[in-house]
Amino acid sequence: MKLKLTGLMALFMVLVMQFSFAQEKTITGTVTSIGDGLPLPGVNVIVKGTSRGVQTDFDGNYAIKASNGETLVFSFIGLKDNEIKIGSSNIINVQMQEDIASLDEVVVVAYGDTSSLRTSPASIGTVKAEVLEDRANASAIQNLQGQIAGLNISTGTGQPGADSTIILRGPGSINGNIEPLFVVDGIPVDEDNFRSINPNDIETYSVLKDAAAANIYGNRAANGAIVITTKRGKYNQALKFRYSTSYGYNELQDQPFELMNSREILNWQRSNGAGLGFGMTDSEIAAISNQVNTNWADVFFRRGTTLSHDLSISSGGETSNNFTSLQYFEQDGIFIGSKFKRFSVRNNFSGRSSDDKFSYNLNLSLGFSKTDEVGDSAGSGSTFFNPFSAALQGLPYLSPYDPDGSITTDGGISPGDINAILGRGASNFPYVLLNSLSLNTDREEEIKILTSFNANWNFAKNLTAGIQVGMDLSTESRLEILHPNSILGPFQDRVGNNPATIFGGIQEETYTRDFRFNTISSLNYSNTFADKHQLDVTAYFEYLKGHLDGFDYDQFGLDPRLIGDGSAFVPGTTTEVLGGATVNPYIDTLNSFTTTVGNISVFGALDYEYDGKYGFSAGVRRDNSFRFIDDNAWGTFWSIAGRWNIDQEAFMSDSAFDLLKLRASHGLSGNDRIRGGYYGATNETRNLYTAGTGYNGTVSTVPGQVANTSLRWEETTQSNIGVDFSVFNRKLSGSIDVYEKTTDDLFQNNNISLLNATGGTIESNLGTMVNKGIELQLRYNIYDDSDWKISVNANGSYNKNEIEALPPSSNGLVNLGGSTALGEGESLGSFYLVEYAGVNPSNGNPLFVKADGTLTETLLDADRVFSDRSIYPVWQGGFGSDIKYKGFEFTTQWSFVADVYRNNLDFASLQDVSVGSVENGRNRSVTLFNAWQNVGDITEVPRVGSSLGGVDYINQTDRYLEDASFLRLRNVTLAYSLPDSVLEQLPISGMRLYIQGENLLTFSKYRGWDPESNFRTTDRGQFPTPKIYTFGATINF
Amino acid sequence: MKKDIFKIITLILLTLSFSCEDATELIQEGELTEDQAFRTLADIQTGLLGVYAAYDPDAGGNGTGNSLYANAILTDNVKSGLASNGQGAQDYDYLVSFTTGSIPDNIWNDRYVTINFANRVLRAMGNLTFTGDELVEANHIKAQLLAIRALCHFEVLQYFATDYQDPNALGAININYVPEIDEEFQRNTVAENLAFIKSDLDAANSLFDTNNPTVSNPIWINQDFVKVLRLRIALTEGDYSTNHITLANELLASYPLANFGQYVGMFLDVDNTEVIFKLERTVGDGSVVRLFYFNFVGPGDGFLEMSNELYNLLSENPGDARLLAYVNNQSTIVGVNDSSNEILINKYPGSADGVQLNDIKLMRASEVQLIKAELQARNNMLTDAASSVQVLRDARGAGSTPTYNTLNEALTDIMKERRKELCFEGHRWLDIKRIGNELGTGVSRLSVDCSSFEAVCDVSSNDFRFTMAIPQDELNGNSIISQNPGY
Repeated sequence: MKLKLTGLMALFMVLVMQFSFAQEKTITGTVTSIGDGLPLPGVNVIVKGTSRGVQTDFDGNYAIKASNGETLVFSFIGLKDNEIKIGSSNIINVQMQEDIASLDEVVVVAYGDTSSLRTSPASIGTVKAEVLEDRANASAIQNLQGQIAGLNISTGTGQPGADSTIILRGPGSINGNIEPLFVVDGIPVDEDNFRSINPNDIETYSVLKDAAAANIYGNRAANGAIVITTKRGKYNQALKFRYSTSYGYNELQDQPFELMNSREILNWQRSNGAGLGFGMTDSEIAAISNQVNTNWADVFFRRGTTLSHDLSISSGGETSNNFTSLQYFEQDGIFIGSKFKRFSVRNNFSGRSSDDKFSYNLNLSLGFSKTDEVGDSAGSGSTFFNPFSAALQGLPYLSPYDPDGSITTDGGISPGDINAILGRGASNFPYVLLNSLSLNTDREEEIKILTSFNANWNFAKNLTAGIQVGMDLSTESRLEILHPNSILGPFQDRVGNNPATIFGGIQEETYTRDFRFNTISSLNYSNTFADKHQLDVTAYFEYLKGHLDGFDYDQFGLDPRLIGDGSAFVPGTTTEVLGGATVNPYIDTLNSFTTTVGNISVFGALDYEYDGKYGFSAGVRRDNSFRFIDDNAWGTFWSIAGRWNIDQEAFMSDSAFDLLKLRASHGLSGNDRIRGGYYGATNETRNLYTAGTGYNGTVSTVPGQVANTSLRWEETTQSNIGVDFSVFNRKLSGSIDVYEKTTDDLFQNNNISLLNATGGTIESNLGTMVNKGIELQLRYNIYDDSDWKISVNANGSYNKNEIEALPPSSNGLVNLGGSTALGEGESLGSFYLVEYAGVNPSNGNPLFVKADGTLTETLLDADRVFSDRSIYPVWQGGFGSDIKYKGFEFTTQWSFVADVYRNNLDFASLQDVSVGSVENGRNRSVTLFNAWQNVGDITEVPRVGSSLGGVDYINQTDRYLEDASFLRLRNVTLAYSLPDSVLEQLPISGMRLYIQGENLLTFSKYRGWDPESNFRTTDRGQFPTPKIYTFGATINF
Repeated sequence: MKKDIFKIITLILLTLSFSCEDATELIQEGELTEDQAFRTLADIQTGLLGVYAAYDPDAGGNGTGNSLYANAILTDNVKSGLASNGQGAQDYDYLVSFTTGSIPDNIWNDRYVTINFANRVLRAMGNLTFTGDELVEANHIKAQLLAIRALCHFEVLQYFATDYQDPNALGAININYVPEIDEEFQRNTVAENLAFIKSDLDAANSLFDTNNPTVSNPIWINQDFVKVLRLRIALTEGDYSTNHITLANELLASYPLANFGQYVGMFLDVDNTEVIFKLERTVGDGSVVRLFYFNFVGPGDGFLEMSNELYNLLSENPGDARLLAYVNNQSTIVGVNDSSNEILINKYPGSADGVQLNDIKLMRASEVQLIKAELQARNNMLTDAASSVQVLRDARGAGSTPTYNTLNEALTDIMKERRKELCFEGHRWLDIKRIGNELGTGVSRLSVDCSSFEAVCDVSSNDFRFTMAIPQDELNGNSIISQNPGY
């Protein structure tokens, strides 16, 4: 470490051998627009080759210290840069003209640096948050879906505030982290937690895709990076207020299932010899059917509301500016019991010295969120804990009403009544779940504080030192109470779930504190030689620590009169006599945990530009991960990139291209997150023991972990070639990228002998996986005049994932027994199943295709095949339109994924005809009336009483493996901004009214609740994504 | 210039003030290395407790399991229960599976985990020095570790060797050290296994402290455990020397057969008269009841029930203590071999430790009594063999005096008695594997029983599936190991 710093010091010494003799003076002037002659506030005025700069004030005035011979650069987004060399005059007035070539785009590169699209050699996609501002999703990240080529954001749950899974350019690891790094205002943050961040605070999202862009973030950015900047005030701006509010409704999407009604299911039960309908007469069935015909989805789902209030205040003086925002947001889930609330505060402060050589920023945000969850049992096969299955499969002849006409909360079942709970195939399970939802608590409360501080000091000519300190603190308390008076309450105790104990109920509480600290010091040298050579070199040192602490407990036995906190707890010392034995039914369980992670990095970056035409950049870094030992701890990663601005060449002077840039990059980055998330796998290189439960109720010492000392960095090599272009005065613009991303030394289980007592596997670095793809992003301005502005945009990407090498001991196939497997030459997440061939007309049994192509009724693992169908989509993207007429604006945003597959267990369960399943307490699809009955029947549905159930089909066959491609109208907004003529009459400077909808339309072949998912293999009782309609208003004053 | 250099040095010093090591050398709280784990004799004792806990023949539930479960589901002692959703259907039907979680995988893995844990404690003991009383105690611990290691090797041999009496047949892997993760192993021969096991038992026997206070409690391994294991080994390898009859008599002198009350009490874990060794099961342990029931021993909750065939054998004599002890009194018997019979297994009826918990009786005097009878029969002492069986039947209040004219008659009767006496204790499948071939009797289920699962009724004793498959997980990580024939 010391040695490397000595090396850096030598580098610094070389860089500082610059002598400054020039005399500084103060230049003043006014910047105006060439079109209307009005003064331009907020124009950046910088001394070329330095970081000294100021902004013009409200009246377009500026003052800056500079020396004779230096050049002042005036820049403003959307206007052409002006460069003026300082001569004898101390007053320089500038008129700026619109720059049709600038494309309006500023890309945030790294650590607060910005670059224009024109000069960046990297593959970067940018979204300005104003496009997303009025959206009604609780999580900011959800809004990004379909906006950037190659970026896939999948939420797959309707729980408001839930985390999304984010994949950029395909999954880059089998077991390690696959999500990109998230950076907010320069500091890396938890990628799985955005619910406590106010989406309206965000100014831009920049998606750094290739090695050149991501390498600066090193080990954490092997999957790319998403860099978010928040809103700031401007220097010399007047005090401004912005208030916005919205209100709306959330609803269930249209459902694809046609379920049996009471008459149908009772008749079906009767003809198949089991269930309530068995033995009933027509008139008995009619009597029930005429009285009760429940759609349980109507009982469990509801129309929820969304409400938000936002206030932001910004102001700026000569040497400081400020942005403050407050938000209250609340959204009901569409499923009863789910709810989300957030309160957030942000303050972004910037300050600078009057000579502008020193500047600093402090960004502080605090968010509090409260989530009432029902979604944590989604996907589970647990009858009494997955409420979504009850909503889908509850029997229609069960009434949801109490005698007084209100929706029941217990179905007349008394707590602990095992016969009522389990009777008739547990058909009362919807009552049990309604009861749990009405009595139990499942709540998360989170406080998140994000702080970043940075300061830059241009302490010598061409030299700037910077420091940045970031802190990300999340504390979460999670409370789950299973009420002792609920139907399941009496079963909760420590003596075999015995309802005979006096007290029931469980309270589980988990408290975690996640604190991440990060600091980066940097030294930058920037200069221009001979007017044509621009050089920018920066050296960085980074230090990062993360601390996760927490505890949890499970208290068994709650006093029903005191539910809510510890006063309800029945002491663990309480004894009861059960079956003649004295037992302690209420012993609690306790747990406490603490984990620390850390990284040290030293890195450098170089940018060189020649004459605005050619650019070259390079980065190299050394990263240390605490997860590895000895020589494996340090990884060396690097990137190189170049660009050629072809449109700047003389031979292009008459072309239609405003911008034509060819760029290429290549680099290596690393991943040390083996598995288990940010705090996972912290010590896999060490042999460890643990205190376990020993024989005869004692404490034992047993091995907890067997070391693999050879673990090392997972490495990703990425090459990218891209073109950015803009033609016909920006009428059509866009970019095309082609990439290949190879991950080597994948974190995978290697097989070892069971004699090692590890269950036969150990974490190792083995194998290779490749993602190859092409991305296209386009924007076309169809029409643009003073009244009408019409534009369309589209993006799409194709990504092909292929596992090239698996552990040698696996013989090219890792099949862990589920419906997917890892296979060499196959995509990650590929299904590995026996092909379903329909129903045997002679006996009604399901038929399958054997490996040799013949048909069989017997399912064997040996007949499983890969069929090029994976849980990860091959195609994804979005498109939209934006139409403005005077004050009206109408925008649409669609997103799609294609060539993606999922097991539909929900539908499989609705078609369950397996032996003994007729009375399984669940409703069916009307398609079962087509089940095979007589020899010669040609049908899709096997005979009732055939051997396989829904789970069997899912796990072993492709019968319910469905194409989950979809096209979704992600957002549609209609807005109206009040014209100036009206505003003059009002004490406000702007007002915008809008109505918008999320997910209003979906097109899909998928026969499930929701084709969208977070790349899961199987859908069973999941929380579907809602439609959200909101109406809102924004007022500026 | 000087000023700039000063500024730069200040900045670098500021940078360096963040110490690097606290981000690179991170040892988490709660990390316990082997040196720290085993420093005292008390630590070693906790290691032994971990080894005992690792040995888990009664593990499983809801249609999965280890050796105890295997000897039920793979034989003629069970049928599908009223509450069945298909638990165990594949195993009952002899559909071969040796992937993760299958019976062969569970047995192999559990025994080698136990051996691995034992070898780790033995390695740690090798780095510590004890003297005086501590040495005596340490030796007693070591004796138990060696005895468990022997037991586990022997059980792997029992389930995975094709032919016990062929010294060159492949058996278990002998392992007396902690392996490296990249090591691979071929199986040793039966002869090598037996030599290894016997050497462990000899060593153990010389190290036991007969004054140790735990010796009198059958939940701890002592010299009598070694004796029973020696008897089992003798029958398995076909060493029928009369010395072993003497050994059996020694044991029976210390552990008399239980009377009627003691017998019923034994299965409620309140009497230890004839218990030589049992695994203690207490709150927090896996519950053996879950091998047959979802929640509790009672009507409507059993997914596995006793077969009509076994029930018929037990009810040959209505006064048989075993009928009362093993069949729950809430069972519904509609008629002989009636498919509606709900015959609730009561071998593990729950205990004071919990409604699903019972100790696992691993070695009982009655087994020794029947081993003695078999040894007598094999030494052509057919009358003695008959009277040995009679002693047991009298103790259970059951049955007429047997007379044996041939070895086959004697073995058939002894096997039947073993089936009744030791049902659901992990013997039946091994008995068919060991003696069945000699007698030509495999698994032979009544049609009312096998049809409860729509499964195979008869499995011949020379079927290849009477030797378990080396589990797939072992094959995956151990490229040089040989699989058993047929798989």
